[in-house]
Amino acid sequence: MVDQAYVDNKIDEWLRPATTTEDVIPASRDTITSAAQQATGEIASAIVAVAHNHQEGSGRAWLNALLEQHGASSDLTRNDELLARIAACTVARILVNETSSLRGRVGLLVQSAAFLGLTPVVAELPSIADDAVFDAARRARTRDVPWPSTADTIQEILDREPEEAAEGAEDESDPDEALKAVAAAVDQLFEKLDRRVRLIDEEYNALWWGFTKHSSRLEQPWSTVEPTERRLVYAACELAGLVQVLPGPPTMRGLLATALGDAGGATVAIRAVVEALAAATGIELDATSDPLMPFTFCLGKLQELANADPGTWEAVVRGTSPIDPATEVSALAASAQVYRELELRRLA
Amino acid sequence: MTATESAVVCDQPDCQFAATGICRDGIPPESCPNTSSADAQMEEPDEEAAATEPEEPASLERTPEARADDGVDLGGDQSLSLHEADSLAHQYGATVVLVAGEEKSGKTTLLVELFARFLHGRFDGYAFAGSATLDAFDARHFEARVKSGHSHPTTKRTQEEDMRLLHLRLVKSAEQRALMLTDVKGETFEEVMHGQPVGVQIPIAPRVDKAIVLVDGRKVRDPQVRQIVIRNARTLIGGLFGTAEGLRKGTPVMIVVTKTDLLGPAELAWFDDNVRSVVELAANRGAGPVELHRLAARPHEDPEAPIGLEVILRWIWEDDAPRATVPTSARPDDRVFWNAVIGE
Repeated sequence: MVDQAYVDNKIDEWLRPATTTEDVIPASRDTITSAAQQATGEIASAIVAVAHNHQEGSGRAWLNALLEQHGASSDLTRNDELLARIAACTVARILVNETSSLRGRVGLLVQSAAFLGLTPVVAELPSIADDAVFDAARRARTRDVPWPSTADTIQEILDREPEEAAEGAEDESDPDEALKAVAAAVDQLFEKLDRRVRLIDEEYNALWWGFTKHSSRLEQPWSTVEPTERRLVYAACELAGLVQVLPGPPTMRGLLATALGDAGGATVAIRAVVEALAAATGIELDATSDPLMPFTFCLGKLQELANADPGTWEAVVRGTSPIDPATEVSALAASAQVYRELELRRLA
Repeated sequence: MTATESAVVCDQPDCQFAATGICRDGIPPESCPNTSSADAQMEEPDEEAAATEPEEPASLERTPEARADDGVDLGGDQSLSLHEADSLAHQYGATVVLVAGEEKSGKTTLLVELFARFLHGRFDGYAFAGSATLDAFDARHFEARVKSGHSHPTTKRTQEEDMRLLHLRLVKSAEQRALMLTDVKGETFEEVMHGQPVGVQIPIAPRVDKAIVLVDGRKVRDPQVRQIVIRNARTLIGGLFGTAEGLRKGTPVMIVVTKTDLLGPAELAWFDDNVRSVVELAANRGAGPVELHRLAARPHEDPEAPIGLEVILRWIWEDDAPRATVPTSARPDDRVFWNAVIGE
């Protein structure tokens, strides 16, 4: 898989187009290291935006401040390409850090950027993000195998030599220590078993949900849910409700496809999906100012400008983000994006 | 026959043929590529041209003061230093193209004619998007324009001593690229051929994204010197790729024979046969894909109709860096549920 060594070996190559000398490379490397360590959930989306040449002010300012700290140029107005590449390298670093709490979120944000048609300055970024999301999903569902033998664990406890009290000192040993140790070991085993059963339950639920081709909320077959925008919204929301362990595996897209059926290949406009989201009930999507969550962002503008002239929210979206509500995408891609934004909301 | 009797002069500064009748390189005057008739010398512009020749390039039709007044920065009259280029690269990124070749092989003519295409609008689908060295291009193009008064367009010899770059931003299909093209004297490359460290002569070499090596077609035409030209091209490429301070392994190279409007089929065939050794050497030294090309950047019959320039531009534009096949996570084989992707 893509790992730290891969990214570290690539950084000079990724930075190279933004410089004609080696001068800024060391400071840029240090900036990338610092940024990857210091990034928070709030700044993560801004960094991803900068990595896609979307000139997001707070992200650029944050990175530029780090670059200054490491002794490099502070000319914000002229460092567009350099900052974009530093941002991309930072994103890559986060994505390959298995212990980073931002890994899944950043991966989903890069996938969101791809949905929007934004092009990263580092061509490998979408592949690295896909791999990171997949790996994060795999790790989230790692089964604890092999399990330690319960009998061996208990035998080990029983075989331990009791600590002898010092001569003349009171014996403070707990006569129930062995039993407590055995009980704790059994509890741990049951926790692992419980986790595994829950994972299996989740997978079974999702599979049966897909197999039945039936909406649990609307209580009708998916094939009768119209229009397509309504179907794709409810499908994404229902499936997201079934999958608690995040991020979800790539198979989720396949399950969405079974719900959408033939309509999966139909094209839908972003505006129509947003309107379907607004009309749907029980949808847990809060408005956001983050344009890398396009449906949530648009939903917020639509709700905010509900009393304005029709189409005003679309004009505002176009003027304040890279989103064009008139853009048409496949119903499956739209449903997967709604699902992704529901995941992002829970990973925040 | 003496130089005086024949009124033949040599434009090599250290050749004493004019005084002694002896060629510096021992080449008969009728075969030497550096000689020309004194009558055809274009060094002295006529009085009319001299009277109208401005100190600043006239083609932009604005005085420096006027340019300063309206706040439009067209760049200085010099190409970019490495430091200046670095600042620009921070802003726009850069595809650095090394244009290499012996003296008079046509390096600056290539750059000038490339720039000149955009004076007429789009060229081969590419649109001009800006340049930080517009005046530098214009100054180099000045000699080639009809209003200079010359009977035949020429390109002024590169004068700048340092490693310099010309900057050209182009747009095609909504994609913008900033090209930085080296404009280096031929003597610099000859130093490399003579064994001078490429890192000293061409400090930008490790940063070069693509390299164009020009072979002077005028010399290919001459049976007396054509082998030398091929040998020199091999030596030059060997020097460019020879060390860690040179071109990076995998750098794409285009070997271009220039002034092909002067070459007949037999001469071109000779070149095609003999350039193979250069291609092999380039590949052995670690060059990336090596391509061959023919160019007449300023054909004698019609200087405004270059032949082969668009191919060079397309080659420069191609982003043929291998898209990294990112090594993906191993897919376990026992859990189809989250392993398979269906419904695509």
